[in-house]
Amino acid sequence: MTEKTGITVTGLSKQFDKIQALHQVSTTIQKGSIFGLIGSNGAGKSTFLRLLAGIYRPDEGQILIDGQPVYENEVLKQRIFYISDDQFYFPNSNMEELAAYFAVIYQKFSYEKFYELTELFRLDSKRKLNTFSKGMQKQAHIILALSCRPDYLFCDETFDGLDPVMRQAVKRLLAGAVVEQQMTPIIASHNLRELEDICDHIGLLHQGGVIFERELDHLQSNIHKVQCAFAAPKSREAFTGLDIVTCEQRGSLSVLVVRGSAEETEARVKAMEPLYCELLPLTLEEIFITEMEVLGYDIQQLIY
Amino acid sequence: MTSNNSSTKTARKQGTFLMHSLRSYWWIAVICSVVYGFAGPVFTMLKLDSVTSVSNVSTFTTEELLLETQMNQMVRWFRAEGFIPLYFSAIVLAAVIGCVMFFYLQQKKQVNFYHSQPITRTRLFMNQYIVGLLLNVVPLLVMMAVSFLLVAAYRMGAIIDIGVILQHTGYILLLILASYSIAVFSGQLAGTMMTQMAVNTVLHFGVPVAAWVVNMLCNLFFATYNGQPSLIEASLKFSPVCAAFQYIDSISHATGLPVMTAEPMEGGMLAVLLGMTIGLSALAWVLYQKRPSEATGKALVYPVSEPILKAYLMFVVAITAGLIFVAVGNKIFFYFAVVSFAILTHMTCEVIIQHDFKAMAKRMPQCAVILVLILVIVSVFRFDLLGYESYLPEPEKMQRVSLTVSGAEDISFYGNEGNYSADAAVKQGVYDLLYPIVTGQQYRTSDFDGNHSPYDTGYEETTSITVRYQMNSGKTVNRIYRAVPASAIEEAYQNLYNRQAYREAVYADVLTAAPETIYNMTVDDTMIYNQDQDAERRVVETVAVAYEGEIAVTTVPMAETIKVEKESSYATMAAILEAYKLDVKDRRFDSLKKARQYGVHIQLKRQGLSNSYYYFDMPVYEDDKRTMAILSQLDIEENDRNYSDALIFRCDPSSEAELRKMLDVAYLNLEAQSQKEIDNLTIERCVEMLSNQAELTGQITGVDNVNQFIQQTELMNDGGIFVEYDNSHFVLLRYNHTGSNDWNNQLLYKGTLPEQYQ
Repeated sequence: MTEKTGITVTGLSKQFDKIQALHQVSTTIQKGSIFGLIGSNGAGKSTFLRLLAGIYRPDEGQILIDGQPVYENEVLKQRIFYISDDQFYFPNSNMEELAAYFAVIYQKFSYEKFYELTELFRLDSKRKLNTFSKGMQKQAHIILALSCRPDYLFCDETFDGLDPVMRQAVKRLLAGAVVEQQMTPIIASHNLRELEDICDHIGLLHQGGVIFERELDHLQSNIHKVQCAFAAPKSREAFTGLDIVTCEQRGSLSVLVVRGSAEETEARVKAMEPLYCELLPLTLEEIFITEMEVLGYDIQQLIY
Repeated sequence: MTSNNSSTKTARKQGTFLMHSLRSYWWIAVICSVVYGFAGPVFTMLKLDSVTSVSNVSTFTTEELLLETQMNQMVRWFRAEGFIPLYFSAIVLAAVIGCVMFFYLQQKKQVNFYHSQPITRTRLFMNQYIVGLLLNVVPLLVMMAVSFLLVAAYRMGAIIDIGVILQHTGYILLLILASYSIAVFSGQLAGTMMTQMAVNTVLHFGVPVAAWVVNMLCNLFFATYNGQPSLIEASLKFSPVCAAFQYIDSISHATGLPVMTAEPMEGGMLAVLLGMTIGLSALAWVLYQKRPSEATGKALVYPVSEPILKAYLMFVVAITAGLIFVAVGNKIFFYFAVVSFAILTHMTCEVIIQHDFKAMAKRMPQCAVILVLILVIVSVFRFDLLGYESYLPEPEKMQRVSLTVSGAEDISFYGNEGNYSADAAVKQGVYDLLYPIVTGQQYRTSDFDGNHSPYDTGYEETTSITVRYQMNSGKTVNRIYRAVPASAIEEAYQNLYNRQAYREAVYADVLTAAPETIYNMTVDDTMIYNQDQDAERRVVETVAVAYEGEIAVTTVPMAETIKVEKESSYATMAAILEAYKLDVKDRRFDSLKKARQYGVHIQLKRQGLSNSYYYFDMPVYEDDKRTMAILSQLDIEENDRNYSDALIFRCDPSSEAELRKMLDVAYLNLEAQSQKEIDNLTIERCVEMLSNQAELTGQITGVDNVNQFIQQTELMNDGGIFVEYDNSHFVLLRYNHTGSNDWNNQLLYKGTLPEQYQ
């Protein structure tokens, strides 16, 4: 019998009064992957993370982490750390006091790691947390989280408020933890550039449901932007055999976002004898915007 | 093996977590220590300082006597007064700490933080619960210990009784637990700090407040439905603060024993407090398991609690407002206030629940349903739809009956109101007495009537009638009729009282008191029941104390102490009791109309119980010849103020009520002018003020002369509701007190005014 690893979410639903925050969400997150959770505002990302962290009890469905339900599972939660978008700290406390608290709570808490990271981030562990800037507070919580040496780290908007240098440092730390201790970070963020750098898997949430969950490489290699020019303008219907996501005409120039492999897409467009043809990879942000447009979450609709 | 390791680890972790929490909440321990420091050691030290101050020394001759007296004072102080600050600060702190320990549930950030940690809700709940209790209890115990060390340091260690202290400590801990459980429970119901505090307050005082309000609405029903204790008294047990008041009140009335005592808390109260503690703590724990983390920020976590709390608030506010409005307006205003304040309360609740002013008009159907329920309840009591008030059982359905007419011969003087008589003539007599009162509704039905009651004018003599029927079916029925006009029952009561069977029931406690159980006896000449007598009144007492039959006499340090022969003191007390028994057996109704000559306060030891005493008062009337004969030999001196002047007036009112009213109006007119006018009221001004209504027929000057006059006319003796007054004369007495004049008015009994002043 093989031991189940990673996170398996099945038919997860959560409702707050009349608001359906999550509806029948099912997904799997492999152990050792860095999972980026993206989605529109109010898509249910924070709710999803709180459910994963065992803060909320699911209305329906189940969450299994390494084969065990998480809610009220004290043993399993020893291996989980949740960093909220608005993290709490004891009034007038400093990092050392918080470390002392976590050392009581988390059996694997490492003071060695704590002092190593505090030095790395050049934070004064004896200084009161309420005198830290927002970014410094985020750093402090990341340090404390990593010192607990969790197997699963749930980060809600953790990169927000960090300066570029610190963002880079955090990314490296997370990557290091993945390699060294097989940690599985799940990062919810709107900063897609950062996620693109660090994540190997991406999940898109919209209106309480998972739209897709894929490997980032596969996601990026399977969708492209095609810019091509023809002697006479071509309509969307003219591009037969292509899985077009969006199509835009600028005079004789056609700009398409197409699903499918690069080779196949290029071959099909070139068969139409364009005057000019170029295939460009999409950034995660572009993929997000494109996918959201398809779902009717169109920026042009919002503005115009 | 693995299981053992795991449980050891868990226990160690829990212990470490507990210690960590104790450290992080250190400030609570500091606050508790400061509060208990003042309530315990500081308060005790102030008392010790006052007891041992120089002013006390001069009164006593020997150091031993001085120390003994000081110790007795401290013992008296520790009976109730010395513990009051500790009781109340402990309860208040428990309520506050109970809220503080679970305040995190009202903060989203904190809920997310704690509930994401690898610690179960059960463990978290237990941790917070225990930490809060320890932070309250440990400083309390430390400060109590410090208080008693201070007592010992003042050479009074001998008074400390560990058993008594442990008993008090146990009660305080129980009250802390009850109050704490309420606060913790309210924390589970509420989603915001504001509602947590509101729910905490409602749960702490809700039951007695509701009982008090409904009692005002219909005091006949609620004051009598449950018999003894009444619903109001019973409701106090459900509030730790009120329960503490009730308990302190009961122990403060304990008699002056020279040893440290702690009267046991009533069994019912103990059971309620214990039940409340266990029940609410368990319920809080269950609710904590079920409480959704996302409920933080909502006014109330569980929707089912909303209509219950709202209905309670609407009811209490509406009825209170109605009663206030009816006190200043007419009865229409009662209904106006009930309806409008019920709606306003509903709206306020909605604004709080929805966090939105625009939501005030929401859920009006719910408001309408609750309002209808309130009006139904009001109508049921107001119009006696259940027939409760008009109930009067036929004599043949009664097995036994007990009737007390307050003021006539107040049975409470004799210790017990529940002395029944099974005599057929007594049952018929009670029925005859009550029939016109009940059928004619000659009583105040509720405070709803307020000042509009035709029988409660303040000028007509009224009384309260307490009646208890034990029915043939075994059921006990109680009724209390208030503000009954004395004139309406006088004849029927006279017939009843003159039956020996009734008197035997009324005086059962006196008649069964064994002389060998007498602990002490105090005789005064005014029947003053207040134990805290003002030294300035120069109350002349004779005190003979017998310790469990052993004869010993202490003479109190008062100038007018009457010396009772050492050898005869116990015999005297026994003789007084036996004489009084014979007198009350022979007593007739007419005797009650005459002035009381003496008051005998008797304290007896309860048979079979150590350190348990009870007491009653025995008013002595002129016709109680046997008792009078003994008391007159004791040479009890006159008791009075040092009145310097007496002005005797004659007037022509149609009734005693009119005479009283005339004097009240005169006083009010004077008060309207200025307080200074009252303070400097001269005899001339007095005569001038009353010249239109009364004629001065005599003036007596000098303390001795006035005292003689008072003794002659028995001015200071209150003879009860059936005393016959001479409606044509009254006396103004002037007492010079700290430079200002204190004028008293007194009515004269028929036939007691010497001719020269008529």
